[in-house]
Amino acid sequence: MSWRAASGLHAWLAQRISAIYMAVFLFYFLGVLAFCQPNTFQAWSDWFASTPMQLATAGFFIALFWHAWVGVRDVLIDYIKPFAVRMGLLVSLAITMILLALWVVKVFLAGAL
Amino acid sequence: MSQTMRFSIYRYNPETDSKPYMQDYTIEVHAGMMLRDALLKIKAEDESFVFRHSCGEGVCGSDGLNINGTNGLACITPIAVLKQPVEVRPLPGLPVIRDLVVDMEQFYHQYRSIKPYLTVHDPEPEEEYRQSPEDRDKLDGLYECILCASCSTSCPSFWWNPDKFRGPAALLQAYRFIADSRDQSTAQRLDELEGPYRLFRCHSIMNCTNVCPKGLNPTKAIGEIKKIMLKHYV
Repeated sequence: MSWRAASGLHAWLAQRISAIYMAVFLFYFLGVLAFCQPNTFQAWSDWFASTPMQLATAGFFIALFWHAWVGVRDVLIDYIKPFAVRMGLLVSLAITMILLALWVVKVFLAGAL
Repeated sequence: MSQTMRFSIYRYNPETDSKPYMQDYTIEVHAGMMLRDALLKIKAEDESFVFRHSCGEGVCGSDGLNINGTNGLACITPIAVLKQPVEVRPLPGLPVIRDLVVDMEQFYHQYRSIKPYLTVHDPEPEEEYRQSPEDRDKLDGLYECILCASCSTSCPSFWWNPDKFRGPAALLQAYRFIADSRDQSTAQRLDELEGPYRLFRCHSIMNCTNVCPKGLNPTKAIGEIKKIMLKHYV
């Protein structure tokens, strides 16, 4: 895969695939909240304890980060012309997203223990 | 019966004006008048005023202008539908040469870049290039473009990156040749459009489709290119 494809077609495709995944996941998530009403801590943690749900949730966050990266990068490519400023913003975006991802991993690990 | 109508026209002569300004004109108009007719009448009163026009019937694409905030062709815009005072400005985003005349070089550069002609690697046929009626039908809605630049100059992605983003007009023509059964350069054409700028600055906001005076749909053509690209690479 060339960098041109990665920053063109693949980025565009990634945004669409991640959007579809998040839409399906959110539909399911809100459906459970509305109809099963896990109102107690026990019900809530039981729901998230199952492996399929953990995988699905992990998938959701992967899709979210992927989607956000492509989206914000698109805005920066559109509007920020000076190379140094654009790279600076992209690097700070990457750092922010890595920190957020680590936080998500920490929450996951805390839930798994 | 004639009545008067007010116009507010963008004026700029780089040789005498330090910056652009809007000039008001009030002229007599009659039923059935197009904006081009009104501009010609204004020019008859004030010959320092400059604008491009030619065929007067929406075929040549010379008088693409920003009319009350929307791009379109002056010659097929009836003045009866316009709110007064009618604000007429040059196409947005392109350098102004004088008054309503813009420098279209960036627009043409992008058009040239997509190689708007048939490329055939096979030996030339003895008589003519054959095409089935079904394949010919695929070019409808694509070949009619008159390159008036209304679409590309209403596209924010083209405003921000006119040097890198091909723009809706050029991309519509890119698809016109990708869709042509006689063309044999589809792979090169797709490869040429790859990357973050040339095709993928389009975010499908459809400004282009809204303003096209010929009723064409560049957004759809761009979507088709993305689909073909996807099939090609997967």
